[in-house]
Amino acid sequence: MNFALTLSLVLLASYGLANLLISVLVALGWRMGLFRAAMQADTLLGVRWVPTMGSALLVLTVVLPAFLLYEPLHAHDKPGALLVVCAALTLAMAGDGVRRLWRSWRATAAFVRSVRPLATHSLDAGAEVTVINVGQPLVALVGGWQERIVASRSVAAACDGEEFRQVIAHETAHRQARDNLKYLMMVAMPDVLAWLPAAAALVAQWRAASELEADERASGADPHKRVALASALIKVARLSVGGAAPERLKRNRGHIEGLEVRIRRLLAPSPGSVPAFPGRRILTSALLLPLLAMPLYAVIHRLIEVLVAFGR
Amino acid sequence: MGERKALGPLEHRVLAVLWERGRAVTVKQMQPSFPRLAYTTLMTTLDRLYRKGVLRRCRLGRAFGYEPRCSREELFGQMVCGQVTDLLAVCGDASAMLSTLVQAVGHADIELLDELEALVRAERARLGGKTE
Repeated sequence: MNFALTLSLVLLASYGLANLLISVLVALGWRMGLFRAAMQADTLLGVRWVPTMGSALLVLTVVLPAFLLYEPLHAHDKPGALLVVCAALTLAMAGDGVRRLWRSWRATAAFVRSVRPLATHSLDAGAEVTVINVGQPLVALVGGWQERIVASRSVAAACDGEEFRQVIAHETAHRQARDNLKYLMMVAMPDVLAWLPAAAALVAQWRAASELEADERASGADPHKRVALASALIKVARLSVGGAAPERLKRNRGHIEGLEVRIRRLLAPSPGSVPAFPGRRILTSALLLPLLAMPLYAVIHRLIEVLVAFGR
Repeated sequence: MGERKALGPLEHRVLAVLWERGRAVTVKQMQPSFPRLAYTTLMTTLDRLYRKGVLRRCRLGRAFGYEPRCSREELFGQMVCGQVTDLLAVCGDASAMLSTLVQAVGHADIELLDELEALVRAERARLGGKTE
């Protein structure tokens, strides 16, 4: 096996192995309730990204330089079974990520194709809403990149002017936070965590947190706006009564509980600005990893050799 | 009309002709509108539309007459509603890029909604705004 092929297999295998370990750690952390108190959407998003970003960083900044520095250019190693299995795991993760991405894109495209726009209204602050002809009381931000806000006729008719403005402000807040794109990225993460129940629970908690944050950004500290949004939520919920199969409703008790939390929070005074997610600090700390690993390159290369030879 | 209706291009064209006519027509009466289509193809298409519940069938002499069960707008509305229901069901399993304001709630939750609405009314009254 030549150098380039060995390098490719080593990179793939080390990503797979690192991802497996980090994913299991995150899932265990979730089970132990380590992140359940986190109600900030960006924190939950960060946790969901840890396996993919962590393994990619490890591979590119530790495994790759260690291999390039210490592996002889003309070495011809026969790959062991563990290397092949770990590399195959990475390919399976990537393939499944692409499949989920494709499924999500297809479902969104089908939705966009299926709705029939009745009218498009421009509201304050450049928000544009497309009123659609569907039976369900639907208000949503649709799409990943060029999102559009859609609202069914029934919702537009049920809400008064201020309530409808708040509903649209809520969806605009989702758009400004690029929540659909973040969701898509979480869905498509090529990691082992995606196959574990913790991933779905993390995404559900992220969704709940992003709804609360969109409510806050939409209505701010203005009590009149907060009440208008709370009232609109109740009206839309009333319109949706019986709109889903009973089994689905039983499975998703979180919907009504989440709605109750949102309404009670809107009726309480605004909690003010939430502390920003320390993304830059985390990124800087992560970039220190290659510097810290530099003295260990020789040891890491020996570990790579063990990985290549294992099961030969 | 309750079942799922995915219509093909030919079925759409046949329906358009039927809506134009506005009365029950037989396969033979339809044929001049589709000169390139075989009689049997047209018959099969009409029969398929009947089985999908889109057309109504009645006896016109020795042949069957077909007419649409509902208007173009009604049919389109039902198809779109059905698709949205399916898509929202799929979204429950985390699929489409869709941030929905509120997810569907059940009849059992009406009491809670009443309670929350009372809180909203009280808050509105406190703020001096108009109550509904």
